[in-house]
Amino acid sequence: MRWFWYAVLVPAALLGQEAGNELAVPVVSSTTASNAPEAGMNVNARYIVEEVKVTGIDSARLSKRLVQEIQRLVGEKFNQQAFDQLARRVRLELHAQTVSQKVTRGDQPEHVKVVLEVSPCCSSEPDVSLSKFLYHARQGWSGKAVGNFTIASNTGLLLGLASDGDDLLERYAGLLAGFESRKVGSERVRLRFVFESYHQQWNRATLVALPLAENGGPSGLYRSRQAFEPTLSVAVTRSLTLSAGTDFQLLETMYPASRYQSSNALTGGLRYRRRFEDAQGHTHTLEAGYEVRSAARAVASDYVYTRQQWHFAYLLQGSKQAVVVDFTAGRLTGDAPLYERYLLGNSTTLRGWSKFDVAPDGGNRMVHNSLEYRRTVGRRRDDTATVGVFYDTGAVWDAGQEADTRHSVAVAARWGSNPLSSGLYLALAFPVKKGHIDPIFMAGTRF
Amino acid sequence: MTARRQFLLFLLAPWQRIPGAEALLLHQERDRLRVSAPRVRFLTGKPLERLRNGASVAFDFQLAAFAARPATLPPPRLLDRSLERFVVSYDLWEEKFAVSRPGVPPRGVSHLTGTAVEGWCVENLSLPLSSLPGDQPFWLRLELRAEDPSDRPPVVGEPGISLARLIELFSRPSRSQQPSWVVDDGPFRLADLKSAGGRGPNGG
Repeated sequence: MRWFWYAVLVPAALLGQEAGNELAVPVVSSTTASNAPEAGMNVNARYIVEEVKVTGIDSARLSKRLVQEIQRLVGEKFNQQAFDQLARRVRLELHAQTVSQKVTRGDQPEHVKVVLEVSPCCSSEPDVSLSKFLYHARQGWSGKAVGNFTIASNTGLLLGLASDGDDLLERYAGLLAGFESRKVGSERVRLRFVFESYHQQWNRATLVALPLAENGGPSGLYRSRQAFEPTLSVAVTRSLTLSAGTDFQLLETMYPASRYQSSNALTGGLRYRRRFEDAQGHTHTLEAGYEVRSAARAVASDYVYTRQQWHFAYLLQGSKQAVVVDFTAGRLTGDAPLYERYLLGNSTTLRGWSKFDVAPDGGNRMVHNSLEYRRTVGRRRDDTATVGVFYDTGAVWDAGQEADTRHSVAVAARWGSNPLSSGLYLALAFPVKKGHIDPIFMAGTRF
Repeated sequence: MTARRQFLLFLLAPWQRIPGAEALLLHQERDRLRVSAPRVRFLTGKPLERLRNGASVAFDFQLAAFAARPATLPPPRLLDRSLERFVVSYDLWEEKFAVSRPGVPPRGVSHLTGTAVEGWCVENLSLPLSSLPGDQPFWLRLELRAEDPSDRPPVVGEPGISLARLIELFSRPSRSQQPSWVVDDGPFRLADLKSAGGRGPNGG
């Protein structure tokens, strides 16, 4: 009897093989209800992962933990959900624009290879994230829209418009254009040229605070400013970036007479950023930076000065709560144009104070610290909604004068994917001062 | 509703319309109405590319019956509808497609050609005959959308598919990047379907 079945089944099987794909018989299956909803819904789940590759980036940028996670998936059966989660983690860790998956046949039968293709996101680079839109009850609206258009492989074109009354003592309005090469010989080296052309408006408080020029007008004002800034940055390690460049600025002065002055500076910077997880699953993000700008006669500058700034930020983030400490200090020596002077009392510093009340003509010394507590109240995909309180303290003054330390507190709601950048936020900030409560409302986004 | 407005609505609809008569073929299976759509090809473009890259792609289907032509304002009365999600994948070694329907228990078919998968999905949609008028004309709309990957977790939940989420999904326009198709056909009459021996051309 057994031979009868062999005689029937073997030719049938051979016929099926000869017929190949065109005559393949559909197989109806019914999996058990205990399976996860989509487990087994990818027919490739029965194949074993032979290799996982991450392309599009220097693999040294991946954290040790992520590399271990990738290695764990090799030798296991292909699980699309696990690879979806892995791709999401790679994207978040590298601040990539997209991470796409490609599964191909392996070298061995019944094996597959998985390739995660990373598309780097330029806007994740902190110095490229230039766009913002915000409202400050004392300063009004500020907007800066900068597009970074990829025109060729690793090459971008920057184009933007701005009307910003927040960053500097002046309100500057105009345009920005630039070119960026994200790979100069190596992905570790980037080169960028940026040209900016702005017209200035000045607040009355600044005009009153400035010393008078020979003909009675406030000295140091300019009506327009053009800048050309070539910068080369080198990622020395995964955490450390070094930058060097020049900043050529041409100012059209207002008093005592309308004329052009140059402010040409050599620039340099060092930036350290590291993120790691501890055994309890808390994420620690550490940022530290130093910037220097030095203008001298040797580079045909009418202004001679040196501006240095130190920055330190630390974020401790749990599943629901986060604490942020952000410290900045600056020192300016020599004769610098107004756009280089330090200020406090805008949307990022001494929130609750107006910069025109704190130091309307700025200062050449500055110290500021911000302490913030946030609690996550909602989450959608990669974005989180948080509410929090922050406490800012700082002083800006001129050398030789006494520093007047100010404080402010605020409540804020935020929405965004990057916990160290602002994302979308609403804040009601209160300056801590005797007499009366005079809150400032702020709303905005940086992207 | 002017003809011009109807035409504008037609142009603005983000989905891919399948033009022409007899886009849907009807047949009766016991007390249910089933359809086939031989001209609908959804294993194309981006979804097909994702499948060939080893990913599974979910397609959400809606078969709806209306008392009047669907693409008119005010919207016609909905008689009944059937919503289903099918998850398609492509076997990298056997170079054949497989399709599954989430549910308890989930059901699936493998070793299919692309055309066979398309047919299997549509033929697994049905409407109860009792929900359709016996002597009045009705219109059918077959709508399908390739999964937006960002919608995946809420739609397929324990222990299977979330019907409420599917209804919500079809109640809003498809995203501009989301591949979608729609087929409107009718009028049909159940009486014509029965007299045609269970397989009916347009009754109108």
